[in-house]
Amino acid sequence: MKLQHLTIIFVVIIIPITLILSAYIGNQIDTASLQQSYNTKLMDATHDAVVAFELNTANNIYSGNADSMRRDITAAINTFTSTLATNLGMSGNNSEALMPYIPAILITLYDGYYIYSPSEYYKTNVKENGEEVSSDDMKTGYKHILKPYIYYSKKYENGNDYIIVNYTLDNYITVYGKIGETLISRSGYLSTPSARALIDIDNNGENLSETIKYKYQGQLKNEDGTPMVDVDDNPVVGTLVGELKNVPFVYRDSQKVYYITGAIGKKDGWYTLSNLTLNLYSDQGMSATDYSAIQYRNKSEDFMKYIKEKFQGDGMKKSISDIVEIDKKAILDPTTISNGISNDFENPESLFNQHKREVIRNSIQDNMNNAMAIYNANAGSLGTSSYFSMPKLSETDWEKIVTNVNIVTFMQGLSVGTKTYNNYAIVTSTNNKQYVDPNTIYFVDTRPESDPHKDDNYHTLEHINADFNADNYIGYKYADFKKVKYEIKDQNDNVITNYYYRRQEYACYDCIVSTNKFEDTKTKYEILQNNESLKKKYYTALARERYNLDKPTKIFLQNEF
Amino acid sequence: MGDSLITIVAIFLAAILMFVFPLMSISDRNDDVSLLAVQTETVEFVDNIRSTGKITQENYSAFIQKLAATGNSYDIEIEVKILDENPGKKTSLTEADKIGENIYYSEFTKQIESEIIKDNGKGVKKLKEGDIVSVSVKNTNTTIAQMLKNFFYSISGNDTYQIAAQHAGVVMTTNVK
Repeated sequence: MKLQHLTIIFVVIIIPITLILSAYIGNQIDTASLQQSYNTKLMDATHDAVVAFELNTANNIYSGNADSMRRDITAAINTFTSTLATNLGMSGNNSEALMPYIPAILITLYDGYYIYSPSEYYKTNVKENGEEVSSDDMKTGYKHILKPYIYYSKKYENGNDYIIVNYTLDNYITVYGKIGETLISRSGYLSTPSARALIDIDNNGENLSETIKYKYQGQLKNEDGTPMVDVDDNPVVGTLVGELKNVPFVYRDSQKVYYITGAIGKKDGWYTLSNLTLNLYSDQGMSATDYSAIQYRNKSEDFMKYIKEKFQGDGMKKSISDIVEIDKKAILDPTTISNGISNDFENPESLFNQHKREVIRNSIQDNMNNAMAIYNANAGSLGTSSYFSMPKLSETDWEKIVTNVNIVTFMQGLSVGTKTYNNYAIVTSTNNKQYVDPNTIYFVDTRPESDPHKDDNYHTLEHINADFNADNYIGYKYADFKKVKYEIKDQNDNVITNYYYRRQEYACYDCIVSTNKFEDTKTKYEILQNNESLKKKYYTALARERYNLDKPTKIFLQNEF
Repeated sequence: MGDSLITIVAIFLAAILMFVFPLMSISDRNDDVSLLAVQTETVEFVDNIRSTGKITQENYSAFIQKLAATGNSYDIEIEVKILDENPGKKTSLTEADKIGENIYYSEFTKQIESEIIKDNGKGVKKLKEGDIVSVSVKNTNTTIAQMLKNFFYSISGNDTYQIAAQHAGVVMTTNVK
C-alpha cells in the first residue's frame, strides 16, 4: 500500500474520533455547568425561603400560635418555588410545573420538623348526589402538602413502664408516659446544679433596656423643618415616629413590656409594642428588673426534682431518669459519666446531647425515607417518571440539621445534558424567634453613658473573654441586634419603609464585622470553663432568652415546669 | 523539479494532518476537560463558603490541589467584601433611620491567605450573613493547545489564558461556631 493510502486511512479514522470526542466532551461540560448552575439556583431559592421565614415569624406577633406557624412556613415555601421558577426562567403561572421535581422540602424547627411533600388527598365531601362516596373514589390525586408536625421524640420502655421524651434543639424536653399506675406529663429545662448556681443575680433580676420607636399623631414638618400648615394656616396633623433610647423593659409572657416615660401622647406606664403602636400593659407600679433567668432556674430545679422523683412501678420504685436510659446509662441524669465526659446538658459532647442528636437524625431519616417512598410510588401521577433516590447528606449538613433551624430542599428529575439532576440544598436560619442559638449571645457594656470607659461596641463571647472584664457586660440574643423594619403612611398615604436598630451599640470590627482577630478553635463551652465571671453572664443571658422563647409547636401541658 | 516541490508540499501537509491536527485537537479537548474541572471546583468552593459562612484552610488546600491535578498552574484571586452596617447607625443625616446604603470593605487573596494558612492546618476565616465572596481562577502556564495555536496564529496581550472560571455570591449564614 502506498504511503498516501495510509495517510488517507489515518485521517479517515482520526478525524471522526476527534470530532466525536470533542462533541462528547462539550456535552459533558454543558452537563456539569448546568448541574452547577442548578445547585446555585436551588441554594439561592432556599436562602430566599429562609429569609421569608425569618421575616414572617419576626414580624408576626401571633407566631406563638401553631396554625400561624403553618401559614408562615407555607409562605416560605411559596417564596422558594417562585424564586426557583424565576431563576429557572419560568416564572408566573408555570411555577406549579416545577413541583413534580421537588420530592420534598424539610423544615427543621426548635422541637420538631415539617415535611412538605406529595401526598394523597381526598375530597372533603363524603356524599355526592346524596350517596356516600366510597373511600377509593374519594382519592383525587397527589399533591404537595405540608404534613403534620413531627416531634423529635423517642419512646423508652422498661417492663410495663414507658416514657416518651420530646427533645428540642436545646435542653428543654417534654416527658410523658406511665410508670406503674401514675401518668407522667411534664415539660421543662434540664440543668445541672452547677449551671443553676451560675444564674445568680443576687435575686434582684436584671436591668434590661433597648431603643424603641413608636407612632404618634402630631403636626407634620416641611422639609426645611418648619411646621406644616394648610392653606387656612391650620396645622397639618399626621403620623409621626418618635424614638426613645434606653427604655427599660421586662419580659412578660414572652413579650417585652417597656416602661415608657415621656412619650408624646402617652402617659407614663408599662406598654407593649407591636408595629410601632404602644399598647398599655399596666399603669401600676411594676418592678423594672427582669426575673426570667431566675424563673428559668427555679422551674428547671423543680423539673430536675420531678425527673428524679420515684414513682411506684412493677412493685418497685422508679423515676423517669431510670427509664430514659441507653446502654444502662441514664440520659437525663447529670451525674452520668460517659466516655469520661460528665453529662453536662450544656456541653455539646455530653451523653444527653449526643443521644439527642441521634434521635433527631433517626427520626428525620425515617420520615424522609417514608416521604420519598410515597413520592416514588406516585411519581407518575405527578407527571414525572424518574426514580428518586435520596441524595446522601454529608456529615457537616447533618450537623447543621441537628443543631439549628434549617430549610433543606431537594430537587430531582430535571434533565441536565447526559444525566438527571438530583441534589439538595441546606440553608441555616440564624435569626429567628424559634430558637436561641447558644453560639449567638452577644455582649454589650452596661456602664452609663457618662462613664469615660464606656464601650460602644457589642462583642462575641470570644472577644470578651480575651480582652474585656465581663463584669461590665450583659448578653442579649442575636435577633435583638438586627435591624427592625417598619412601615408608616405619610400624609399622601404613601407607604414609607424604614428601619431602626433596637440596640445602639456598633458591631465590633474585631469580632462581629470581621473575625480576623480570633482564630480560636475552642468551642464556647471550653472557653467558658476558664472564665467564671463571663460564665455567669453568659448562662444568665441564655437562661433569660430561652425562658422567653416562643414555643408555638410545644405540646400544651398543664404541669409545665 | 515540479514533482519534488509537490512532494515537499505533500509531506508538509501530511505532517500537519497526521501530527499537528490530532495533537491540537486532543490538547484542546484536554484544556476543555481542565476548564470543566476548574469551573466545577470553583463553583463548589464558593457555594460551600456561602452556605457554611467560613473559608477553611482545609477547603482552600483541597481546592488548590484539585486545580493542580489538572496539570496546569493557576492564579487564584479571592475577594471578600465584608458588610459593615455601622455607618448606617452612625450617620447623622436628617433621615437617620434610613439604612440600606451599606458599606462594604474588601479583603483580597493575600490578606485572606495570611489568615487562613496556619501551621496547625486549622486556619479559618469566618464570614457573616451579607458578606460577598468572589473567586476567579486563570491559568498562568501556556498549555500545549495554546502553544500550538501560537505557532499558527499568534495571540498576544494580557488575557491570553485558556482556562478560566469565576463564581461569586452572598454569604447566607453567619458562622458562629
